[in-house]
Amino acid sequence: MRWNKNRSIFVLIAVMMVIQIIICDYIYTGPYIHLTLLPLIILSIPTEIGYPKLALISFAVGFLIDLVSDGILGLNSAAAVMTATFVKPISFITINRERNDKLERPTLSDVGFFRYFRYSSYLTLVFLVTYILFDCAGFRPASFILMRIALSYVANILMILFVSITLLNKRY
Amino acid sequence: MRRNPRLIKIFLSIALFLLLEGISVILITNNSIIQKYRIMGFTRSAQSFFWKQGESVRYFLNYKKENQLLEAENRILKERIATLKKYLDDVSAEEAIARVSGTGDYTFIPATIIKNSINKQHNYIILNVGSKNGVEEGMGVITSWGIVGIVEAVSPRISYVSSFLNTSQSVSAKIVSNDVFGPMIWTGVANKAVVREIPIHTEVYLGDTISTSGYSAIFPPDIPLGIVTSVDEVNGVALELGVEMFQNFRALRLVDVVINNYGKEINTIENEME
Repeated sequence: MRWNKNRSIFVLIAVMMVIQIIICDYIYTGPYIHLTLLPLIILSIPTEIGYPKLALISFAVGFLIDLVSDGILGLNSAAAVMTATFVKPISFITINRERNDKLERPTLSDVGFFRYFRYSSYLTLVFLVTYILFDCAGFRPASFILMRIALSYVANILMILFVSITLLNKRY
Repeated sequence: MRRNPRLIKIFLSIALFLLLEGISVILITNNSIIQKYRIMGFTRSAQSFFWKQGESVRYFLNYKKENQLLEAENRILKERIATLKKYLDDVSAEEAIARVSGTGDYTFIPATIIKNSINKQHNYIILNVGSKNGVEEGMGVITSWGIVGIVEAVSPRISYVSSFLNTSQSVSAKIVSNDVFGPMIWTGVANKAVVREIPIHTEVYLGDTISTSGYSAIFPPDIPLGIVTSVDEVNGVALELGVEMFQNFRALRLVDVVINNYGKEINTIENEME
């Protein structure tokens, strides 16, 4: 039973990674929008495994995406590790503590739309701020960086909610 | 003294976080796309097959635009031939043959793009020619509409080019009307670039043409790059020119790799001087 559940999560993460690689390699979104499913991949890893494993898995997934898609090696892994670090604190803030302890992987139907929206929003912001700062800081004006973060956030949160409703909104 | 397991756990988590972030930052600072391609050489060879197929489909869908570009290029070449013919009429046949038979400063290797990244802050291009065709690292890549990038790594059949659409790359450019030059850098947005470090007393007008200066061993001089769209004063000491590039990187397909016939000599002298 547990083996089946782990396998389902593994398949789910693998499918999202393939989609992410396709997005990176073939979808042109312009300089202001960075589309990513990585926050959602991290979000779908069960939190019961503990921070060290979560950080290592996030790093590995980010590194793999960096390796096989366009971009600079280390960018996705840096942002993924940062996001993994904030999973627990953000879930405590957005989903109440008692409820959070019972959930190994919060889904939209478990916690409700508003809580899930806040939870995924904050994680997406952590990811995007880290990614875009590492990508642009030092040689891009602050206005460009802020605009990129804002537009990427809007695009990503819409995509994450869509994927959450269609792909993740059930217990595996 | 008793150890607090919770404290140790927190300490280890912080150490792990710092370690993983540290590795990532080292990778970002030391790694370029080209190095990544070297690591993944075998996988990329297999991927290049699919890219070629994808590029064929893209070319088929864009062939009308491609033909328009080729027609425009042909028209410019015809005009240049007509101009040169006028001069050639003034010299004898022997003299004309003697003038054109010598080796020029530059020769070109025609290439087709099989993968073109334009979506990132650090873009790259993959060409269907490699060391077997005479391509070497450090060579420039151009079209009739501007510069495309610099070859960063070469395998026998494929070259990896660091695109001009790269925030860390610059090219020496000049204002055609007065030959004042400065580095031209992509702004990170579409086909917009800036030419920096232009002396403040320089007369520049909107619509002036910018071309390569030729002050490098990589690109030939006088390749048109774009037109001036804005002139801004920077700290009261220099001008910064906004440039709209002629080169449409989205419609790129056929390019030329530039071989500077005196490049090795120039590099040798430069190394000796250093």
